[in-house]
Amino acid sequence: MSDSESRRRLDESIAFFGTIIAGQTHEITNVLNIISELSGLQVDLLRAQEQDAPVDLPRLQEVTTRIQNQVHRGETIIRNINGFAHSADLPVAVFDLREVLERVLFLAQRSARLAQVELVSDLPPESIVLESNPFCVQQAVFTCIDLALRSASDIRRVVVDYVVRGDGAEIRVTSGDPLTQDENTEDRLELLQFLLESIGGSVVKRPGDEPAGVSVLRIPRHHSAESE
Amino acid sequence: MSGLRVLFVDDEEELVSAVVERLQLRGIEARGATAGADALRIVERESFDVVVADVKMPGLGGLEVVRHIKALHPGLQVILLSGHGSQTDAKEGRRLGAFDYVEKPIDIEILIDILRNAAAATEQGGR
Repeated sequence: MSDSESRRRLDESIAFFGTIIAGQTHEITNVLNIISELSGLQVDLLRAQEQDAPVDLPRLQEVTTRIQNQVHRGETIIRNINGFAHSADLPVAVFDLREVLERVLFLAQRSARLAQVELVSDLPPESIVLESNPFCVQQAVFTCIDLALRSASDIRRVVVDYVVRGDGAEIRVTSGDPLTQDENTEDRLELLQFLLESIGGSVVKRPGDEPAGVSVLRIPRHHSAESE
Repeated sequence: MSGLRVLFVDDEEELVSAVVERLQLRGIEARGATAGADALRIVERESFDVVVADVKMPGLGGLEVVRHIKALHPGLQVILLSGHGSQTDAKEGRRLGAFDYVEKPIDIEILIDILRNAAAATEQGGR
């Protein structure tokens, strides 16, 4: 691979990292804004009661529960960002594919919501432990999801699942809508190919192939750092 | 402030609920919507003095809401809301006819001042 090609791939990985972090910081901001308003509401309720009426404890308790729910939501976001950030620590790590896919699905939910697409996890209970590059796997799956979101038209539903097949796993991203091409589509498909090849896997099916809207990515169970 | 009718639009349901409750506690007739398209349907059926709409929402965002409202109800004031501090959105919103722009987190007293100013501008026949 040429220096310029390496630089381009590195830039794409940094851009992916940035997309995820920017999206999730917006989500954290949303959580903080809600907590700010709910705590303001608590103060309002106390002030409204302080003159002549007794404090409405059930109402205050209900607002407190709503604040706690947002705190849990914030914790979940941070846990997923943290896992995502650490997935770039090592070029090869041992990880549970199911956990990594659950994280990608969580992180992609914001993009799906903005695109008005239902992003569904249909992960099997069967777990598979891989020795590979988790960051690369996440980027590849996110690229497929992103292609599907950009193509959403009528069905607006994307399902992610995987099967354990041979000595590895096949991840499937199925969109109800066929892939639509734009000026970035070919670059993204090339990137997908590059990401899979860099971990010894392959793109079994591109989303533009028939049947339309389905991507299948094959990830081998083991991939050594030396082959990177 | 009583009698001021406000529609607050944001895709975060809990934010809408909290802000609407806070405005109501201050005597404002507030109601909420969680999508731009819903807000447009509501303003067709009910009368408001001011619509507060988040810039970034799935489907119709705040800028599109301003565009639609100004085309159909030029006298109805719209205030944009954003968590991203984008001056570009603020300028574009103004160009489309938004009365003002408020950044999150919301200071409820500042928001109410802006609502009051927007309603006064309507009474005076414009911005």
